[in-house]
Amino acid sequence: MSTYVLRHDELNCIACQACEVHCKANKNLGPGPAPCKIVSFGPVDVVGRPRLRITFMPCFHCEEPWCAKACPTGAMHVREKDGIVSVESSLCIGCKSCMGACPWGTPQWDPATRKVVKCDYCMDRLDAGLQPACVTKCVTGCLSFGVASELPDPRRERYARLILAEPPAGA
Amino acid sequence: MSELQMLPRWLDAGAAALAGAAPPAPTLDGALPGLARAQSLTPLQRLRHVQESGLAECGGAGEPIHIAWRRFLRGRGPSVLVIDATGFDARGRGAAAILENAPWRIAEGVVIAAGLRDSLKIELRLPAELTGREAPFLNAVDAIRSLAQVAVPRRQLEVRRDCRPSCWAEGRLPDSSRLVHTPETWCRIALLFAGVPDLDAALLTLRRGMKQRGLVELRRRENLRIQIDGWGGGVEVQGPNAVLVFDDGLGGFLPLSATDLSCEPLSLASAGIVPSPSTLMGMAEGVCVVKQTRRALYRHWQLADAEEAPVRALLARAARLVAEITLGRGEAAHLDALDGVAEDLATQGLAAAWPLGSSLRYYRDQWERHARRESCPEGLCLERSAAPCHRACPANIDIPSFLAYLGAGDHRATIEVIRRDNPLPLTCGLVCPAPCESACVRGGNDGAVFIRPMKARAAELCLAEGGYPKPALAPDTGKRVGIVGAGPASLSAAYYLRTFGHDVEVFEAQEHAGGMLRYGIPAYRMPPDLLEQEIDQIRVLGVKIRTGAAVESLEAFRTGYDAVFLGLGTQRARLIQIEGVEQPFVLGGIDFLRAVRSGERVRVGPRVVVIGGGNVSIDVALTALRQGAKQVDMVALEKRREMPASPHETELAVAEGVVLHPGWGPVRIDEDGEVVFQYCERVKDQTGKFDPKFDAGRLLKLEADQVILATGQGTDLAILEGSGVENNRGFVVADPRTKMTSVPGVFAGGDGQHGPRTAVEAIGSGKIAAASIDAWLRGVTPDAAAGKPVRRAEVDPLPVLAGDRSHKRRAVMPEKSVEETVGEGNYVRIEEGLTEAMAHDEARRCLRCDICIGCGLCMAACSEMGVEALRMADTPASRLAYFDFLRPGELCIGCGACTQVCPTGAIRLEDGNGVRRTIITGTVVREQPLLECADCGAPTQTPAHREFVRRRLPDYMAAHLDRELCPSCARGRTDRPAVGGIDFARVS
Repeated sequence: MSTYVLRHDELNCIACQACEVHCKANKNLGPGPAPCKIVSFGPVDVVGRPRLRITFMPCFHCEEPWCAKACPTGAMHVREKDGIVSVESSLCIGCKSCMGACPWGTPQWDPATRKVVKCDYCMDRLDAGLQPACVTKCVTGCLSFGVASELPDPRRERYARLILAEPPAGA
Repeated sequence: MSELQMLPRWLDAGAAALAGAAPPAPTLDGALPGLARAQSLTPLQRLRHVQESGLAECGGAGEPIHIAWRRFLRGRGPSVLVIDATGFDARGRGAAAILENAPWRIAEGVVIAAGLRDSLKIELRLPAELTGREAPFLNAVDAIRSLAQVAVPRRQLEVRRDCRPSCWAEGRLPDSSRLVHTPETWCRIALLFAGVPDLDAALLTLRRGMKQRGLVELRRRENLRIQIDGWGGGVEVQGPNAVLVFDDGLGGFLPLSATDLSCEPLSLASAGIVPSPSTLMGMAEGVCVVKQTRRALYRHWQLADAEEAPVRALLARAARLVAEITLGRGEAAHLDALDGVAEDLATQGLAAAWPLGSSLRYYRDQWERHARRESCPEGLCLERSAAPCHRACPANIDIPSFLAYLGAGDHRATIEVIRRDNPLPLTCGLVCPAPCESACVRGGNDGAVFIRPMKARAAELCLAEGGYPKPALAPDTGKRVGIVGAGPASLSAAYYLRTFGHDVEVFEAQEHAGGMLRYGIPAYRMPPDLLEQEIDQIRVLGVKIRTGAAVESLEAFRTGYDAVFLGLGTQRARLIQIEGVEQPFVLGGIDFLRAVRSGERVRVGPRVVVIGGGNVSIDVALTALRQGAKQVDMVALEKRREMPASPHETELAVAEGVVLHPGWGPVRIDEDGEVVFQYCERVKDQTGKFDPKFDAGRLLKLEADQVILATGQGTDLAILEGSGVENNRGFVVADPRTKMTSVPGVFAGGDGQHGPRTAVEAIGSGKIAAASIDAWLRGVTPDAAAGKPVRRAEVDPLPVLAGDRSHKRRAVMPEKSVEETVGEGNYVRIEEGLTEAMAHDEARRCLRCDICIGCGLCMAACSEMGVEALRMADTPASRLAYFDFLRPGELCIGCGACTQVCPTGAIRLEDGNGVRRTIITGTVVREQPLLECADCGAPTQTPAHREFVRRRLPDYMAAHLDRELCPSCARGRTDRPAVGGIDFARVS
């Protein structure tokens, strides 16, 4: 896996899709390709209340990426220093093998360049000391990004607070 | 100046007496002095001797020989000695010179090495261009065997022909069972053992761009710049940055300013070029090195035909990246990627590193300007060029488009497209010499598309329906244009001027319009009624053509018009000034044709001699046969292959019984009708200038009742008197771009301006003149596009079956038999025109070079995939083309990478009804099923592509892909790797 982690806290997410928009704006993409995607369904019944379920689907930057293994030209590759999986567009010939190989449908087709584009954690921004576009512009702050070993998981933190505030009966 | 004067003494022609069969000395020791020495040494001592000498391979990587010898000596088992005569540049002369002049030395070197490991097999690898040059060497081997009294040879000699050079600079895996050297290296090994000094050199062929051409010796210890200047004065092309091209570009490029270095292989290698070059060319400073690199890389890719997929993929990637840059599809990242590829090529030991590495290094600014899509020094890259036929047509008819329309059965659209550039499709369909067909990409394969008669067919279909479709006429401008002459140039100018909205009047001195078409071309080729019908199609637009109306003075004529076009033509025969030319039985060719076509009762013969080798001479000869001649001799200055007449016409004349005498120049015509010729050794000098050389001792005498001279035509310029319009050597002078003469408002074109040429050239010049007359009348600058090929339509390619597209041959024109056409007064049309079926098939043979520009990106991408389903072939038009439409049928996996890199959409995918078709310019080359998403039913990929992906993945990863899902459904499942779905209830 990449040394980074991009976390999504569903509780705070309102599915406004600002992350998607800024991702596309940063990569200069037209309609169609969406390197990250808010997938929502529902409302479903959660403990007696209707709730919209929301998942954020960027790239997981696998340790052993399907896409990079399937790529015949080496365009899809893992960056050595931090494990980010990205496409070198001059080497991409548009065979779409990565799209067929990724079990999560992450590599996206860009009809404007006739090449594949995908989430690279905004490598250019990271290298400039910035955060990925989606995180920077997240309206509710439900996206967080950082080095995996340093970044607390908000959900875990919240659960811990919950237990401390309301100890289970009998404690 | 002897080409060989700078060559070493051992390479003189005398060394190979009797094609290698005669030994240079009567005894074996005398004939092979090096062998005698070598035999006194053990293999290790021989190795040491070689190592101490520092001898290096001549050609290619220039590796020190002892490295290969050491590797070879360590090997075990059967071994082969290889004489590799292949080279990157087929025009290199080194290997041929060695094989021819030093066969004994080669054999000696091989015998010396044979003692290293007792090799029993010798292999001579010959490239196609050296076929037959091995004879002296084989003779030398036989002679050595007989000198040594070997009855049954132990060593087996094998000659392998049509070999190609390897794409490796150094063998990929050191192979200890083979010892490979070039013929020159084997020679130098023999010379080394014979004690010859000064061997540290290699032969180099100097090619174009160098002041002296031919073989020289490149001294390795000396400075390259000093040596270049020493060879007959150095580089021919000017400029400090003239480009030195090694091994036809396959060995790299070096600016002249960077040549101040030693010629040691290591020094040249660190300069980034081939360490031991075998040929050298000079190119001018402004040459596009990027284009040259592209060509070289493509050749390297071709040479790697039998290599493993990763090697081919790397070479294909290099070729693709460069091609994308030349096509203006490059980015800065392309250059970074190319730097990486160049490094990979070099570390893998591929020779393609030389051209790519050196050009990236020394011509970085050119690369960057290409990658930024700014400029190309030659201006040829970065823009889409028209199809070769379209460019070759003097009137620039959009040929691929009209062929596609005709093939689709739309003859009206066909005529509309043709008439955008040529208002006389029927005429050109009958009489044009068809330069388009000479340019046709298919010509080098199975015969050019038969373009010419297709125009006539479309025209005849339209005329049968009552006329050509009328072009849109611009609103009347109120300007009047007067045109003198009614030949093809004038008719073309009149037509276009009328469509621009001007009032056009044409004045013709003869009784009928048509000019040379009417009076210069015999009726069996251009029936007068058809010509009249075609001219009527111009009249109906409102062009007034007044025949029998000669214009006497331009000065007076001009006053009535806003602009004037002079299409004067060349109606006067120019007789060459030889003795006896003034006699009454000597006629001018064009005068004779005009008299016949005017309906005069001209009787000639029975014996006629026609002098001249052009198409007019053939027309004269065939017309003479129809005007009473029984015996027609046609005498041309040129040899038959050099005659300006088109070959088909010449054959026709011979078939009708004209006796051809090529290669004779006329001397005199005697009163009694005897014509005397002298033998012509050559017509043009080396630079292509007309400069005939005769052998006055060899004479040809022919008896004649009539002599017709078709040796040139001139223009009657009386009309110009007092007008101020300049003329030069009997023709009106006009700006070649605008066709305006020295008098503003007076324009000129056609034969009377550019000299006697073809009808289609006259039509082209009339079209250009019309555009600039229009611009002049409106007071704007003329459109620069006039006179350049412009695409007139975007017609979809015709659907053609892959087999037909690959194998259909050129149609044969149905012609009347000679018996039907010959005979006095018989002017029946010889050609019968293509049948409907022939025209249908012929249109489908077109390769649509307007859409497929032959860049080869599709093929490179396919090779990068490792699929190799596409194969384009080289063509003389220096572009690639598909002739093989069947190969993808077995190999294509339907991934569509080719369609994504294609800059023009020539190759594309079509999905529908669960089937994916791969289509190259209208031909379905592969049809395969398409899988569907298990969730939404959307088409996903082909089974072959799915298999391709799965084979690249380990089993446990491939197992994740068992359900076929489209990317969007796969993402919608929101699975996590190794977790398998989120338990939402737990998280919240």
